[in-house]
Amino acid sequence: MPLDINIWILAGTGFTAGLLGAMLGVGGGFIIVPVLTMLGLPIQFAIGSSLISIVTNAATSTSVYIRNNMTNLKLGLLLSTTLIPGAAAGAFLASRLPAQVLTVLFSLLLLFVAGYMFPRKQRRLTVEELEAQKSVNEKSHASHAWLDGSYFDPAINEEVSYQVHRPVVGLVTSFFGGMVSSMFGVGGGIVNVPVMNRLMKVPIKATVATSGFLLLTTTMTGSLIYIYNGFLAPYVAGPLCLSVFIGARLGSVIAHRVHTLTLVIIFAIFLVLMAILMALKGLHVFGD
Amino acid sequence: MYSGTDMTEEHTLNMEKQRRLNRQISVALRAGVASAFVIILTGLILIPVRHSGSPMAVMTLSALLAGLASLNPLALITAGILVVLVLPVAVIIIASVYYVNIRDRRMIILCGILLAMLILSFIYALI
Repeated sequence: MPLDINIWILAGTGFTAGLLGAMLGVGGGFIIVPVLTMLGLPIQFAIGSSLISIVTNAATSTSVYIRNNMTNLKLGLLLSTTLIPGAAAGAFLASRLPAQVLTVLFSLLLLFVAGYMFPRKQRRLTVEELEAQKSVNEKSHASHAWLDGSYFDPAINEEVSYQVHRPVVGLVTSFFGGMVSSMFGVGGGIVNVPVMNRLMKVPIKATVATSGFLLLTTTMTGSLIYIYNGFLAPYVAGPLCLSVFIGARLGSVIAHRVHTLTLVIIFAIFLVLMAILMALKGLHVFGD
Repeated sequence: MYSGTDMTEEHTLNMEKQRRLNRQISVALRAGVASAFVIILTGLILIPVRHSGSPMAVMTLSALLAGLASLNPLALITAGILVVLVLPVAVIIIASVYYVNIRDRRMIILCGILLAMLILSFIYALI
């Protein structure tokens, strides 16, 4: 199997993925997998390499978040018990699917993420809806109070305490989060973040920190299954690991200095273009 | 029976222990990423000098060890990747030791299940 991707192209792809990933809060996989696939790398190799680079990125961000006590470790460990089997199932499925099918499925995921990222107005809940929600939450909370957490938020200079709701829903959806992550070589934050923040009522800062921890266990499991199936390309994954790490470090430093909304729109357009190109590739429009 | 002051002191003590665990995990992750970075970078630097073997090859454990001894770039990069992949296992081992020390039975069971799953993934992938 030929591997003639220039090391500088790999480094540039990883750097851009790390930079944009850190600035936009998405996993670099949404950039790495389509770019490597369009450069001619078989999609399973692209996904395996992407997962390995995400482990590096997740380890770096988790080391910072957990030092600042933002990560809810108990919640992360609990959700990992279903994420890991989900990740194994996703990687197993992806390694057995024909590359064309996986490419078309990935292009559909890119379209979904592009739609998800576009900014929109959220409907505010009425007072009655908020009251009803509060009473349901209070009744069901007592049995899983051990998952509750707190962290110091420097933005408001206060200790934020929170309760975790619906852990069973979290466990079930985490299985699918792990599956999506491993199947497509993406972080899985696209599933984990809305579930923890919207359904489990974890504050967004604790959600992002805990999601980083979940990426560690999920992407590690997925990577190992890809390695087992022979989809490890060290000369691709190595440069990606380094460049994603450097890009993510820079991205986290400059994130607050750039106009994120413009970036989000540009990134969403990039995802749509990549989705179209990958669908065309998967459907053999360009030929083999 | 605990008084209000005892409860507050116990809570503060638990918070301090939890923070110590968080710091230990953070140090382990940073040390692991830094080591992997150096190993992979060394491998990449050595590619023009000592390149050999297929760039897509998956190495056996014995070939990996022999490759490391002869500073083979492919073996170095693979070893760096393995260091990255071991990090989640290290995190859960550190957490397990902490929960065993404070006798938190629920978390000991959770960590045990996770460790078993992660170690099985490693065995499945590498052996």
